[in-house]
Amino acid sequence: MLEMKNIKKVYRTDTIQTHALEDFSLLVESGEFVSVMGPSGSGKTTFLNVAGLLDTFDSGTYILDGKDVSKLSDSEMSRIRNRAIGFVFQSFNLIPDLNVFDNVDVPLRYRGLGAADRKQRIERALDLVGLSSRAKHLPSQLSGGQQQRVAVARVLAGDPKLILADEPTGNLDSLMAREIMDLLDRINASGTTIVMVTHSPECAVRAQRQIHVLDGRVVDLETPRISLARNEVSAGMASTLG
Amino acid sequence: MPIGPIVRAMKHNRTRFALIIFEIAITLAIVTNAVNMILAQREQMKKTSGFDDDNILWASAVPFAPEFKEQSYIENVVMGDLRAIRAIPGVKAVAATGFLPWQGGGSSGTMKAEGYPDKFQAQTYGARGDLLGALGAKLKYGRAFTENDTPVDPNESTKVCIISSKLSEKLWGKANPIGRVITSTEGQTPRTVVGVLDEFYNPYSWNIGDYVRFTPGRAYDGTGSFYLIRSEPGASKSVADALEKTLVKVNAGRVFRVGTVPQVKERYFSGNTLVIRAMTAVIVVLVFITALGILGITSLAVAERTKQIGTRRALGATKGDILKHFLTENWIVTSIGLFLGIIATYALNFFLVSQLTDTKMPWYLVGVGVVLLWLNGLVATIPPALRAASVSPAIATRTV
Ligand SMILES: Nc1ncnc2c1ncn2[C@@H]1O[C@H](COP(=O)(O)OP(=O)(O)OP(=O)(O)O)[C@@H](O)[C@H]1O
Ligand SMILES: [Mg+2]
Repeated sequence: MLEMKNIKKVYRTDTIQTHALEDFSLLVESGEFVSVMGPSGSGKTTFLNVAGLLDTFDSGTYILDGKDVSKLSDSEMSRIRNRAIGFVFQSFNLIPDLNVFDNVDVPLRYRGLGAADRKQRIERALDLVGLSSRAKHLPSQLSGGQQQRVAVARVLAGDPKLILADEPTGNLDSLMAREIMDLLDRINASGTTIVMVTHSPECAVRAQRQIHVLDGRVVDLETPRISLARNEVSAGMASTLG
Repeated sequence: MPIGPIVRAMKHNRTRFALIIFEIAITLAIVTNAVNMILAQREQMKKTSGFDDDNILWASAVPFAPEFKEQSYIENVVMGDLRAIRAIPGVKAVAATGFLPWQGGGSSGTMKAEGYPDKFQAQTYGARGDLLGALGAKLKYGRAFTENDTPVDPNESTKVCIISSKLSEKLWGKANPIGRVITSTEGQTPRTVVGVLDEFYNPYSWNIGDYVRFTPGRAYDGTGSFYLIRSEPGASKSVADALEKTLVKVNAGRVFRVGTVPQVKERYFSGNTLVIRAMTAVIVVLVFITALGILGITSLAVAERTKQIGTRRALGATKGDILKHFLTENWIVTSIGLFLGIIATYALNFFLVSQLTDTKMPWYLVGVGVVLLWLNGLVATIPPALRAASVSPAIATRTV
């Protein structure tokens, strides 16, 4: 699904150059659920931006769903983001002036779908996240967890092959976080590939595979330390949830 | 373009958009009415006098010498003046008259006419010499004055007159009026119409700019004399220079002043010119302010919504989609503003027509105003909309 080789990304400002990604290589198979962890500033978001065609990279190769994306035009990238990728953000990124229904509708409109098709997709997606009754609410009238569920519905309605999530539970308490993780689990179970950046070990262990990023590189693709962490965390979570 | 969600989102920013809508409506109302005023002023300025304005000069002579108390002395001097002016190279014709074109006034009187039931008012001037030649005017009917038309006795009233065709039509319709008689309101001093001027207009109050009665009377006395002089085309300057010297030679006991009809006309229309300049300034300033307002508020909206724009880009909007989004938003606002503006335009015009003597608003002017302000809004929206389109989709993942 996603194959990166020696990706390099440098941010240049007037005074400094930041090597955000340095020889970043990663393979994610179709249908996988991968979590990405690492210290702050290690390049996780930068990786996600490149993976989601939100940003360009300086060198290396990136094959997305069997297609080399390094030479795509801006509008071709928009089209892929719109049809093949679903994004979940830490701060939900709902349009504050649009109600829940219209928010879920945003990417479908850019896809140019017909009104009936859109309505059916939106209603089904809102039903899946349990927010059918809130269709006319504004984001400001919802809790954080509900807002993130709207964001997930926005992804579901588009039926993407790949979901990229940047700390989707970062702004949520653990109960709401669990709701979101349950949703992602179910989506993944239906075959959608998910790559999720997270700081939370509890969430990370819900993925099939954990990746660690340090100084713009992937480290220790599979280490026993992680499976160990998984056990500890599961125990920890069990105690928080009572 | 998805107009539905755009409109629904706009409802949450009512105040901001209401401000622009209001500004656009007011601008349309004021700009169209200002243009209408300018057109009305230009229309006034387009009126023609019926004379050879560009080549007419005037000269006045006010005596200080004591000899000017005696009628025969005055008569001699004026006749001498007419002959001397006529002899200046480049002069076509000269008349001694109280009439000065484009003065914005003159003298008038109330009269009666044979076969016309009411009293009426008309401008009236005496003229000796070649009046038609001095004005460059043409006759529609009849003849010009001759020397014999002026009575030898200055106390005896004149017996004939030349009137404008508009006055003739008002009194007697389209028929040839030669031989008809105009009298004083008491039926005294009958004057037979001997000539009709093809065209005559001299601005005057009471709407009598088109009505005139010239008599072959003496428009000069001990207080002074006044002359209209028509020069060959291009000779105006040299004639003006020669006039005073010529008149001094005839009789030096007087103070002279010389001028041209184009100067008089310019002074008469200086008010109109001022109105046109002021209205033009109002239009330019208002349109500019409206453009700035749209530019400013749209820029603010773009800056405020950077994150939202980045999110839309991440969700699949192309640069073109973002550009269209802001242009559509502006199009909606401008259209509502212009719709209200059309109502305000007619309301303001209705008020102006009732208060001043403004003219009714022609619909095409409103149409032109709508199109121009619509384009103005579009142009003002493009820079901030382009800025919005260039927002990077990577903004979406940035946590602030
Ligand atoms: N737009 C940018 N301009 C300049 N430098 C940037 C930009 N975005 C990120 N960086 C730098 O690149 C490096 C990697 O940033 P990135 O956001 O990928 O980290 P992260 O792993 O997501 O961190 P966090 O866990 O805090 O979200 C950091 O040093 C950051 O300062
Ligand atoms: Mg990050």
